[in-house]
Amino acid sequence: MARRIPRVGIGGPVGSGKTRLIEQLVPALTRKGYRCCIISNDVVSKEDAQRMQRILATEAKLMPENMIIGIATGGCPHTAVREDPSINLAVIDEIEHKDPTLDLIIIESGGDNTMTTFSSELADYFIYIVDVAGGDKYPRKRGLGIESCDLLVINKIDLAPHVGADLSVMARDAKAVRPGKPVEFVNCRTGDGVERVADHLAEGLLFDKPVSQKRRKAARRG
Amino acid sequence: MLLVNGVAGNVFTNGRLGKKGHRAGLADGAERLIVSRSEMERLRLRRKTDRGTDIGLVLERGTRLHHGDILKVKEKFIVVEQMPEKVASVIMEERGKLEMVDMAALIGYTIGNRHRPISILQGKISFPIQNDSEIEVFEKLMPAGVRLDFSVQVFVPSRDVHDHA
Repeated sequence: MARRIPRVGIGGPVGSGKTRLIEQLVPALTRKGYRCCIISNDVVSKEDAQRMQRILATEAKLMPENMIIGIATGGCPHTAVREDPSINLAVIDEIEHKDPTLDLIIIESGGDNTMTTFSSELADYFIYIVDVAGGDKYPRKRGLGIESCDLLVINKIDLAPHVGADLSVMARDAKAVRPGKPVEFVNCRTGDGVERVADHLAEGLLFDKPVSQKRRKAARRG
Repeated sequence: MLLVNGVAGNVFTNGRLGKKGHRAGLADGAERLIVSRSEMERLRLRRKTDRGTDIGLVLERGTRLHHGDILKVKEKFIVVEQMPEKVASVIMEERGKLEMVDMAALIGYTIGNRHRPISILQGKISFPIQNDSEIEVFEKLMPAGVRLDFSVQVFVPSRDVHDHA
């Protein structure tokens, strides 16, 4: 059996910025010396996976194109990461045989509003992302995704004044419904705050994988 | 960080270690790693114990934590404790055989549609409640002759299923 590669699940409503977060997160993790692979779940389209292939593989050359895999689930994407994750597990099995030296598998899945969660069989760490345009009530409305995720990410903070969202209210409510658990405010368009998300992953998930200075320097040189 | 790759036994099932666990006093003496039910299913987890020891847990495929597990570490005696949660227990009135079958099917339908794990122990069905606001819904949807009792306890599903409301 191939070595088990650590996995992070990234979930959240449609348009919250999951794909954008990954597009910013992979360069941040690469700068730290980590090598990643991405699985992107969607209902019928593979558009997000194709966009990431273009941005992260073809243009930025951060990973081979075949390490960004799109899955058209044919049903609610959250079903394929929770109720029946077998298609994702099959793809992970292939990846683990193809390149067991990878440090991290990122699994993206949308849908299901605040209730998205990942099967613990599939993901070792769970990031839930929402954006301020949904209103500053989002964290206090709770839901399994918001309450149980390891890291809550609140995106599009630059839009807050334009949509009447109070970030201090969101921070207060997130703390109240997720006692002791972290929340990060980010702007995935500019990358502001994404380095801190990468730090959380390094600390909370990749804690036994110290990256050598040599590999870190090589990653920085590109 | 203390890297942990397995468990050495369980205070409830392992005689020798169990005695050690009881001597240490599971409830009030031993160092405890307190985790939620969903975290118990993880193979990779970083948490602090109640005494502040930083634990990085990496388990083998096919294994999982259980309430009362003793972490495999040389320096310390650390016991895994699952967080208690609100649980509903289904109390069914004694009725005729066919009526009982109908009731059981409707109870399964109601709980199953909300994708909750269940525990069936000596004819008693229990399931976790995520938020007090959903109690009203469950009480309304349960068939006639059924009432729900609520308590806070360590919930162990009969079979592993996902959570979803």
